[in-house]
Amino acid sequence: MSTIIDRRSSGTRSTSNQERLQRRVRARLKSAVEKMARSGSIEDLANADQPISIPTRDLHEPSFRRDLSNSSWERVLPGNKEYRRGDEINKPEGGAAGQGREGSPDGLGDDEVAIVLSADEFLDLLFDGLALPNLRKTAQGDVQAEQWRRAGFIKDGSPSRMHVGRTMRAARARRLALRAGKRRELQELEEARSKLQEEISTRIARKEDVSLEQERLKNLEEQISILARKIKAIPFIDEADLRFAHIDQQPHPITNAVMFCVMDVSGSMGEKEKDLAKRFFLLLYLFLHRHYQAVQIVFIKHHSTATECTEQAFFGAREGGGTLVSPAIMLTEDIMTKRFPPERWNVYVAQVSDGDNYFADNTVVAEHLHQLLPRLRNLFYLEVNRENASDLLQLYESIAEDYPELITARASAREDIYPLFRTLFSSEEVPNHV
Amino acid sequence: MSKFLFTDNDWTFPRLDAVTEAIAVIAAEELHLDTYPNQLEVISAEQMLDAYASIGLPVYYAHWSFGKQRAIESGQYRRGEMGLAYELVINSDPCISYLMEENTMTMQTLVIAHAAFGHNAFFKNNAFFRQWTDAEGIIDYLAFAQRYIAQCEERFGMDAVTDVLDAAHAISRNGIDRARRPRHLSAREEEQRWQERERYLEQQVLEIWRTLPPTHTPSTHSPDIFPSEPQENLLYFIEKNAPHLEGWKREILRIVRKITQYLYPQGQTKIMNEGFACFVHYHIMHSLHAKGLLTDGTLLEFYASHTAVVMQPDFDDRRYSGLNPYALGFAIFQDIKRICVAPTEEDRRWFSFAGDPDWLKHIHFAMREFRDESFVLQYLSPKVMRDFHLFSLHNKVDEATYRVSAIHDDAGYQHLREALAQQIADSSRPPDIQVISVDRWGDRQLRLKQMDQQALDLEEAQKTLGYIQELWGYDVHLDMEDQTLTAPQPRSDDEA
Repeated sequence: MSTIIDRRSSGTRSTSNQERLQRRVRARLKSAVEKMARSGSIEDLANADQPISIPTRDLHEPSFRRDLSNSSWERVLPGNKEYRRGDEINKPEGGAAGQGREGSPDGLGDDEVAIVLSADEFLDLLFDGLALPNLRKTAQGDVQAEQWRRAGFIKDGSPSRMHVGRTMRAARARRLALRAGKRRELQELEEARSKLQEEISTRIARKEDVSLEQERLKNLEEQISILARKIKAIPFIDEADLRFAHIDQQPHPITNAVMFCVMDVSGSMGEKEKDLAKRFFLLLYLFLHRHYQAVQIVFIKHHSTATECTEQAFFGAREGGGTLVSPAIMLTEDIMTKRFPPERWNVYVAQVSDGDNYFADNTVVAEHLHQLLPRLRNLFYLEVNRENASDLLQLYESIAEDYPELITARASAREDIYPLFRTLFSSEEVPNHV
Repeated sequence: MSKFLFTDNDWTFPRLDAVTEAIAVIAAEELHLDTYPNQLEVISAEQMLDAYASIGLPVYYAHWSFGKQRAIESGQYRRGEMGLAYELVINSDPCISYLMEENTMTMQTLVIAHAAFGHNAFFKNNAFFRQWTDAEGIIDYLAFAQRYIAQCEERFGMDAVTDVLDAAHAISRNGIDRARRPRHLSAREEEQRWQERERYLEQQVLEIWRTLPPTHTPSTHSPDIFPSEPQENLLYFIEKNAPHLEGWKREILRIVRKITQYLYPQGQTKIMNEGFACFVHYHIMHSLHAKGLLTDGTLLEFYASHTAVVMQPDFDDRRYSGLNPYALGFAIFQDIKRICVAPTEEDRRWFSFAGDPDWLKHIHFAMREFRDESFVLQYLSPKVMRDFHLFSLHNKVDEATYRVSAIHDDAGYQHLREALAQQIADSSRPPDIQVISVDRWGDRQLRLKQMDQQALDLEEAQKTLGYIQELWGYDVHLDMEDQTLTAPQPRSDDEA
């Protein structure tokens, strides 16, 4: 007798084990992820499932084992070709086959385990503990945060959350409901009994036979006592009455936020500069997308003129020409005023440039920054690949002395970007200068 | 119309059905196999990796080590370093066999013969399995274990449960009563038992006693020895005797112990189990072909996989990784048949049953009554030793060379047999470590003693002692021949 079952559709069941494994090596996974973010291609990192190697010694499972390198043994082997009894064979140097410790019972000797992270798990580790600085509650908006909220009452829960009032109310309702019918019946029976008793007494007075009535009375009394017992048996409180206050995690809209990404795409931005800039923006983009589903992102690229563009155009940008920074600042200001009024939006600007700017433009930039900055939460200015601070950076730094919203930083190698990113977004209080 | 069960190589459910039926006839009529009802389940490669990770069990509680196992194996599989088994079979009633969906129809036929009839019959009839496992109750019990541990995680937190499981796993190999026959499992009874225990414990909490001032009565107990005899089952001993272990932790130890016990016979009968299954599939495939149910092409494909499975690389071959249980087991079972059917003069000297035409009787007897160690000692014949070119090496720690202690010749056969049996016995047994005393009226320290002479891996032993101490709650020492190991101090300081 045989049954054949197609199990293929029931899927895999390893998730719970996987989850426990990741939990165990979380610290190590995190440092591995950060290391990858420093050197590898971020696009690749964020798109594919990432295998991360964890040394097995972190996941070692000890047990009592024999140490074969340190004891005598006899072993039977197949494939003898030339040996005779009594032959002596030199032991291999450094303990090869047959020496060493007895393997683990599962027969594994590899010293690394690869743990595959999904893209989301990867990003969660990458951006663990980061948040947008200085986010303020403006008007009710789209940015979501999870919040514990009371969510009615449930029938099961931990004793500490038991709601006494609700429980007693349910108990009372149950007692009433269960009693009502019986009470009514009892009342009817009692009435019938008193009638019968009257009848008996009148019959006795008339000296008539009452044996039949006595029988009925006995019967009635029995029924009454049964009912009374039943009513008494209804418990004061029952497991079904228990009510527990329920709390639930609910998305809670708090704030509107918008991030302006401003990138210099002029001719002076070479391969390396662009790579650094894009790396920064890509991290920013992934971070905002993963953590704040509702943050708006505006992409602006500029050389001597500035344009708003799509995500694809922004990251694929390849242009040239001279550099003017002021048009980008003006465009930002313009879009902000029209679409994201600062009284209702948390506005952030992230600007990356190599600092090459037409000299006369700097004064225009300064003027506009003075207007713009008070209306922003933060402006991050990142200067890439310069040996010495540019005039533009010096200008920004001098402005930053008056405006703590302005944060400047410099990066000259790929490896700098991720740590920099972490410092920019790691706490609510950001140092003015990184 | 041809009688072939199939001519092209894609499997379909009707074909699986037809093949199973044809095999069942041969298994019953020609091999007289007594089997559990079969439940064949077709699964994907991913699911096979899942099954690997949980030692082939269809239901298992969650633990990170299974996740690690899966990560390692799926890595090897993806890199192409490891092929997946064509099948996996569970000692349960009904007997569950997993068939990989990638298999060709020929492979499915082979796998059904091998697992659903070979292993199945072995599970049902081998004395060791009959004594130690309960095929009927296991699935329910595993489901109970999974449920219970999930509940514990909910109540006491994932980390607390993981700690207990880690510790229990560390000594699970020392969680077997080798000399005693275990009781059968029943999930319902188990569930009832722990509920009763919980209820009882709750009744025992008498608030009023707590208000009494402690009385100091001098202990009148003489320092007796506890336990009265050394105990080899560490898991059981701790479960029953740890001074302060919470009830749910004891229950988890019990679960780990029960499952280890269920798996114990598998480790003791690798050679026999695989050998017998190979013997069965070999017979059945030939019989199907002889009846005209399989094409010649199918038979050739079968030979290709069969020879790959029972191949034994030489010791100096790059592929060598120990004796192949499939190869050795298959060779011995085939040899038992040969000794019956076509005995040589040598066989008559070695085996009293040589020449008895009823070979099936002897195959059945061998399959039922032995385990690897005794099987090799009883049936490993000179011919098989010659075919495998077996020889034995003796290693002494303080000598610069290995010595060849025996080869496959008249002077060596007996020695080889014994050496191999000993080797099997050693590798299937953990180091013999037993509880010898508990200082019950003093500081409650637990003393273990190593009862065999073989050197222990000290670093491992130290860590394992740490786990034991975590469960026991007081100091733990391990006496060895030349030194005493003490568990590392608990990490309570930095946790406080």
